[in-house]
Amino acid sequence: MKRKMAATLGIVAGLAVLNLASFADAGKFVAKHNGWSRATFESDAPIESIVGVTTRIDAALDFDAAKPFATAKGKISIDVAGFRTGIKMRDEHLRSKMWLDAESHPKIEFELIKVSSDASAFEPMKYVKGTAHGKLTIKGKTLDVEVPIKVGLFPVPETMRKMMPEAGTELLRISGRFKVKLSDYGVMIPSMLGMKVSDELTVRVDVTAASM
Amino acid sequence: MTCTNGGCAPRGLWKRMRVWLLVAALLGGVGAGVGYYVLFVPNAEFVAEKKAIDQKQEELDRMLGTVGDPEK
Repeated sequence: MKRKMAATLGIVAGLAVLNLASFADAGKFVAKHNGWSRATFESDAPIESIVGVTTRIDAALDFDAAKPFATAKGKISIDVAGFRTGIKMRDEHLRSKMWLDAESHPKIEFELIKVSSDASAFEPMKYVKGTAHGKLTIKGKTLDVEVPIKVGLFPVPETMRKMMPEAGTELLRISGRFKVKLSDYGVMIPSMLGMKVSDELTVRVDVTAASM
Repeated sequence: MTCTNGGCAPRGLWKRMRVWLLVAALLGGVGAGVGYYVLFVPNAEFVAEKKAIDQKQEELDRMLGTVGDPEK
């Protein structure tokens, strides 16, 4: 009888340890071309306004539920070749060596280093405002950037379960809008095209990552 | 011959020229329109794709209950 009890206690203790281990991993969120993330850019030049969009986004983010902003880190990558602007020739130009050079630099990457926010934790079913601090790499050139963001942690809705079978129990949504100066990243617009393409783009990124 | 202060021209030349000028202007207009369409207007496939992507984001907001979120 004593042996049986000891065995039962052992199993319970083991399960508790396993549970703690899974809780420690609860802050890892992944997005992999899941179609629920989006990146857009807008160029507003005197002659032409251009909008580009893609959903080919990967992300691996670490937001520990207990101290989400103090511990936030991770990486968001966008496939350069995934951008579409609605005109085939323009898409080809965008991928060409003169512009984003998709062949040599297939990804635009943002490495998240930390998040600063007035809030210290996520609020239930709400977005929290903050600033993401990190390094943005475009065409092989990396610069420090600060991006105003809204971020929220939500339970995976039942209706989404079928569409995202790989998702765990929670969704992390992070959205940021910021300006990117192409010349800062070595993308030089020929003066002839200056009226068609703006040096400064407005970029918006919405990432939906699921806990694993 | 039709003569004016500026000189003389074969009869009907101005009429024929007007017709040709009109045809040239029409062709130029059509060419400019097609050029503008090809170079500046996003194709229908892209418009539909972008709309679907934007709608998916809105659908997600609806499912998460954050549609009216002021922070949105």
